[in-house]
Amino acid sequence: MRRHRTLAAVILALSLLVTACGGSKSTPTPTTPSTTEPSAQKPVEKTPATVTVWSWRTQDEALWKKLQEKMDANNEKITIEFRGIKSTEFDSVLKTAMSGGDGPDLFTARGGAGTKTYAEAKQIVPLDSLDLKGFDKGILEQASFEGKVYAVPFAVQTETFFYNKKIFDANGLKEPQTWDELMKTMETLKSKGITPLAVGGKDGYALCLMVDTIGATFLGDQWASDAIAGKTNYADAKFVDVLTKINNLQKYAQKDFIGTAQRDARTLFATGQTAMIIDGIWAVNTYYLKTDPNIQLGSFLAPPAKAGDPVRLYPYVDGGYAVNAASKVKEAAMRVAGYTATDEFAQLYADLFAEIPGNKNVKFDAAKQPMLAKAVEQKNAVGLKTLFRIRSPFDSGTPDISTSLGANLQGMLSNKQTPEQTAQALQKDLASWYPAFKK
Amino acid sequence: MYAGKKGLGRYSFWLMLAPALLPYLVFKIYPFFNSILLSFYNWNGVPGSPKIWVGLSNYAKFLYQPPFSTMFWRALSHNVIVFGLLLIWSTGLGTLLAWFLTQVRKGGGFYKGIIFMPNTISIAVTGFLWSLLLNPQFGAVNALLRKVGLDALAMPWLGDSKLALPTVIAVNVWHGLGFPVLIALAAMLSVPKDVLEAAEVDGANRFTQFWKITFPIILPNLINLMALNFSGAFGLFEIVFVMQGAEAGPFYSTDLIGTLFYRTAFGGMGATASGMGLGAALAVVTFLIVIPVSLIATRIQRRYSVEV
Repeated sequence: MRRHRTLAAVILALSLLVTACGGSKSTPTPTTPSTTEPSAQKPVEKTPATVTVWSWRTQDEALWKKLQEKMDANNEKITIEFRGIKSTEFDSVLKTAMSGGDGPDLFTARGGAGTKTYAEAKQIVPLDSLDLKGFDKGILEQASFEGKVYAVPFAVQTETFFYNKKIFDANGLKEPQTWDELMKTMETLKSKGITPLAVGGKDGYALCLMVDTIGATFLGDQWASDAIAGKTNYADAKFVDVLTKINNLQKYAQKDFIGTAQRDARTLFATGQTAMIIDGIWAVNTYYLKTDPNIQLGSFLAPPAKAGDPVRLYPYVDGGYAVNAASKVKEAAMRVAGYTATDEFAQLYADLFAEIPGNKNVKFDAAKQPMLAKAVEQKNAVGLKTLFRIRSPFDSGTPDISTSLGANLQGMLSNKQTPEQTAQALQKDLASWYPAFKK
Repeated sequence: MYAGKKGLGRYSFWLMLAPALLPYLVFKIYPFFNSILLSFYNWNGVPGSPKIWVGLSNYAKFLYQPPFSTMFWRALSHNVIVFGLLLIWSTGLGTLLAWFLTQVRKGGGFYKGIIFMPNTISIAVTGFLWSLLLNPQFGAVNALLRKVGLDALAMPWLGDSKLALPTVIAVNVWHGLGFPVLIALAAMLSVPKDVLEAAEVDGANRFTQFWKITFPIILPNLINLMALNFSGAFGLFEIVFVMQGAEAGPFYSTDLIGTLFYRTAFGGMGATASGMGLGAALAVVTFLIVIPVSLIATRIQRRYSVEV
């Protein structure tokens, strides 16, 4: 009898322990915000709320502090609690927290399919009520699902050719206006013993940047829309032509480029050992200027076949702020999201990080940040509206376009397969899951 | 004493087992069966998104539907190659080094220390370090080769699709060599001295002594090492991930079951797609390959064990 009682007691204790482990839900504790006196003009009643914000951009803490000051000044009675999580761990941490009901009120969702999966699962809410006039359609598209915007895009990345002005000037070279001119530029540099192009062939993603940059001009919006609709595909002559162009560039790359990581390719470029590189805009501040603060940079988009033909830029949304559907302070979280959509927030973002915000109404000082100023201008003027690689619909299945393309380009650049075979291999991978390619 | 009791009391031993059993059930058994269950579904891992029952189709994909089957068999063949390389480089070279250590008269401890040292560095640091050393432009390895006139040997080690896998495995062996050496050495030291001395008196040279006496005695230990090589080869992931990334480049030349699993379940570079069900199926298949071989290895080891 006594033993039974002990047994029962222990089972009870264990079950308590288990429930304690499994079911803990942190309820956001309402705290009073540090008060600037309530402004006399608008005595609207707002319940104090704490909004938790999670991001893979750990550097964003400063940004949210600034926003906090701004919101306090407006007497929003919201306390922002920011938590930065390492980018590589962010998605799994978020998934786990969301399934346990412990998710943040507001979080950064990856652009494209990243936002879509959460929207489809009804884990985040549509942001119909927000004023999103500052954003281009092509940009919002990457944060939308079934025609509704689900995240406020915070950063846009662009890709381009960068060149070393000093080397160009010393050799009497100018930004090429046509593809042939680009080839001539490469040839001139090579004949003078200068490595024209740094290529990070060991990193598949770096090779994909070449496809984005060159493909933007040579494929354009129409081709991308057609591919998405299944009217054309990656084995098509136009795409093969882009791959052929990349294949022809390999003779201008540094020796053993296939074993070079992109960060080392960046070092080669930033230290003046090569004249050009194809890279993302984010490399300017994080790599080039850190390696050589005095480097004279120039940039140009992939030049078209004929002078005067349109050049295009590949802009993609890094991520956007999404509001958790299960948030207990949804109204407050929505208000915070509203702030992130303002021009003011975008400018704050640009000034703090020297990155391109999603909102287009932002200015970079052309004297201080010439590359960024140019990128913003290009993004607004000639940015693609429909994408064919990263953040495109081809990004959201297995195997995804980036992995397949990166690997197959390595095969092409080590002369294991022709551009045609590369294109076909990619098409075959995508056709295994992409509905419009399945026949 | 409880076994004889009547009534509920006789089950009270479960209570004593609970503290150990519960975590085991929760963290080992449950995830294991859960992943088997998951392998029959199509699911992207985001809570709330639909889990669609697809039966055996995830398995079919990996076994005979390209592109998955291409990836799977290629990765599997790489795992087999890795196993072969580990047999030669880890167990083979390890045994040889251990034998040399039994032969040195002075400084044995010093050499042992040198061989074991890389083991104390984390595998991530090791991978990073060697990536720097093997860098084709600034790396020390190629610089050294060029300095001594071996320009032809200065290659893009990690970028050439033929060299990349052996290179990565060589780094892995460099990191872990201390362990097989230690095991082989301990086994060799357990060989009775008097037997060896008697053989020497009878005119057996060192090689004969090793081949006829030492080797048969240490064989069970070597088989043990080989079994570890096997599970090591099929579980390998970190070093490839650190040195070649999740894409296991160049052109999938270092792709193993581990990296393929990572890409499938958690999404590749820059990708937002993930196939938890597909990944789980892959894990189950790998499990079905590794377990029987491990069991066979255990049996073989038992057969060869010698009483000393």
